[in-house]
Amino acid sequence: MLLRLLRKSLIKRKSRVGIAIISVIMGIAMVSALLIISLQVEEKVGDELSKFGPNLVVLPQTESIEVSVGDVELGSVSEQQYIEEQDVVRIEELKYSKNVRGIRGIAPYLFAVVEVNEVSNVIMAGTWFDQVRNINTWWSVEGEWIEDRNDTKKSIIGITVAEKLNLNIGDLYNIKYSSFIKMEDGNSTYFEVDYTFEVTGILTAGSDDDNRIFVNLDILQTITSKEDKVSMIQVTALCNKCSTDVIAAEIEGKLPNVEAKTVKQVADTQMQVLDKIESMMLLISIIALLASALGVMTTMTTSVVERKKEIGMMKAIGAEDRKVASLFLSEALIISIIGGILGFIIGVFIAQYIGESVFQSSISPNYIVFPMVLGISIGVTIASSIIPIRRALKIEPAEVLRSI
Amino acid sequence: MSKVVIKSENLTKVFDNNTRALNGINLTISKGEWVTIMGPSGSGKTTLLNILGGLDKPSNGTVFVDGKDITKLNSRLLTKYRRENIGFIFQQFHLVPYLNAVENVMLAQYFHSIALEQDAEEVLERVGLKERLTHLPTQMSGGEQQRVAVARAIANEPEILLADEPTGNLDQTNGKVVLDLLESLHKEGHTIVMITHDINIAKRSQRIIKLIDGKIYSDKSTRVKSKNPDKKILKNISKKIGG
Repeated sequence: MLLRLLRKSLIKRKSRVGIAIISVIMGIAMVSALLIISLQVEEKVGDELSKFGPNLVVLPQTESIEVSVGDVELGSVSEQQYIEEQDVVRIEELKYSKNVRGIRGIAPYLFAVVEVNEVSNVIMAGTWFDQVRNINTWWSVEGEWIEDRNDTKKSIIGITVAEKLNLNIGDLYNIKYSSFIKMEDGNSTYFEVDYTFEVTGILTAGSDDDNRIFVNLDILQTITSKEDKVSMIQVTALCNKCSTDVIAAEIEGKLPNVEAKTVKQVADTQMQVLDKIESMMLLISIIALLASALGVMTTMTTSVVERKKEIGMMKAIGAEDRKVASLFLSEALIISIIGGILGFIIGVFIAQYIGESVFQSSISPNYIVFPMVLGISIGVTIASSIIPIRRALKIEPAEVLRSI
Repeated sequence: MSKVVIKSENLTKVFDNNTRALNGINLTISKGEWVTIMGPSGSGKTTLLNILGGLDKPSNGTVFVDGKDITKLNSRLLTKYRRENIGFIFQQFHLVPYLNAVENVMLAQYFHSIALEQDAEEVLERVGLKERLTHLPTQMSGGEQQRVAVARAIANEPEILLADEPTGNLDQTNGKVVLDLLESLHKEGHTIVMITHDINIAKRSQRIIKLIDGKIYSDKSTRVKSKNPDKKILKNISKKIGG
């Protein structure tokens, strides 16, 4: 009987019910869209912000020794320290940490000063170009990137170097590297390496990188006899609702011989932007839901006022409060389910539209949002029906029916 | 002597605005009796019926129905009392407009226990509406609507039927049909308390109670004629009740 009563009552008052459903749809569509976006926005915003460079730099810990002669302090000297290449893998494992939302790139660097074409000293950096491309997205390379980590001939040279040494794409040039190597017996031995690279790309970075030559990490490690060593690791990691300092601390905890420094500006901007976006979304969601609740409450109150006599008659002929309440609650439930489903579907399209217009990429519907918004829809609709229902239960049949 | 179904003692009702609607009503109604309450507007007829039906509470006094004082019942138990003991027939029918005849009867069954379509149809057959089962109230005449209301009132087999001007909104023909129906229900053993302004309708019942200013002015059987009617008193009554 309840179902029959509900069906007929809803059909009879379809325009009012329609308004309530539209109220719910509007609120839930907005909440669905924002939830779908917020689940992906971190990734999208992360993508956008990672274009500004790494947010963490991992350096070897340096041990300085104070040098003085008598009372005169001469300053400190420190031995050049390196990070083990295998530490890169350990940093990569951080992506499984609960604090880390994702790692955009990890680029190890080994630096060495080399003499180019016997005329000029240039800093040569050995790195992984596939990772550098993820981190330094603003790098503009004329010519070719180096795709293969095992390539031993190709190099990308900074534009300043190219101009100074008059090097063009396709040119070959010689480098000379000389250093002392510590032998097993503790003595140091001088050594020199001559090597030929080809210019495959000319880099314009607008930074110090324009003064450098970049080659694959492996070949530079071989040239410099620093196998498995790196001087620095650049990391672009996104923190899960925390400061990048937390990831830095986590890296330092994992790798005791390194120092992880946050590139404050980038890290803070990332977190601030994400926080602001999330707060804004929360605020919009709350406003949208309040508007929905108000719409439902108004409709339900109107419904109660219009049906005063009907409710009075029901109570007069013996309807218990719970049966009267269940009638209105069931109506609210139906409104909330229909509104929730349609709101979610519309929300998916809104999310898609926002994704394309703001992030220039599609946002896939996340179906985990559906039970969430359905729950929100039911909760908000039922909650906003409570006042009208209480009003219905307070109706005195003798008063509304006047003459029974 | 028939069993007493309703017994009120010193029933008084004073509304918030100090209007004294009932002023010490002592009344006894036996099982199977058909009683009409008459009186001018504001005499307390509807207030009395509301209190007997458990829709209102008196300010003072008691109402025993089947030996139980209903003035002591809380709101939940009063609802139960109405559901199980009373069948209401309203002047304005008060049918649910979007439900058809059967569904309006089933509504009373649903609030009572279980709604059974077949039972509801049988009740409508009893009131002569076999052909109008699936009609909406707007598709029926006033008389038919009131018969649906009567069917709804008797759907749960209540002991007492309370009818407030059941023919007040009907033309003479339809009014007669409804009165015939009440008469047959009375013959089936229902106790009926009815309000009317029409003395001819009141004469169909067994007993007429006249209220004036919240008090019982007269309480007479319609079956026994007064040997020496006091013309002066009757004239006065007629003047007061506007009849």
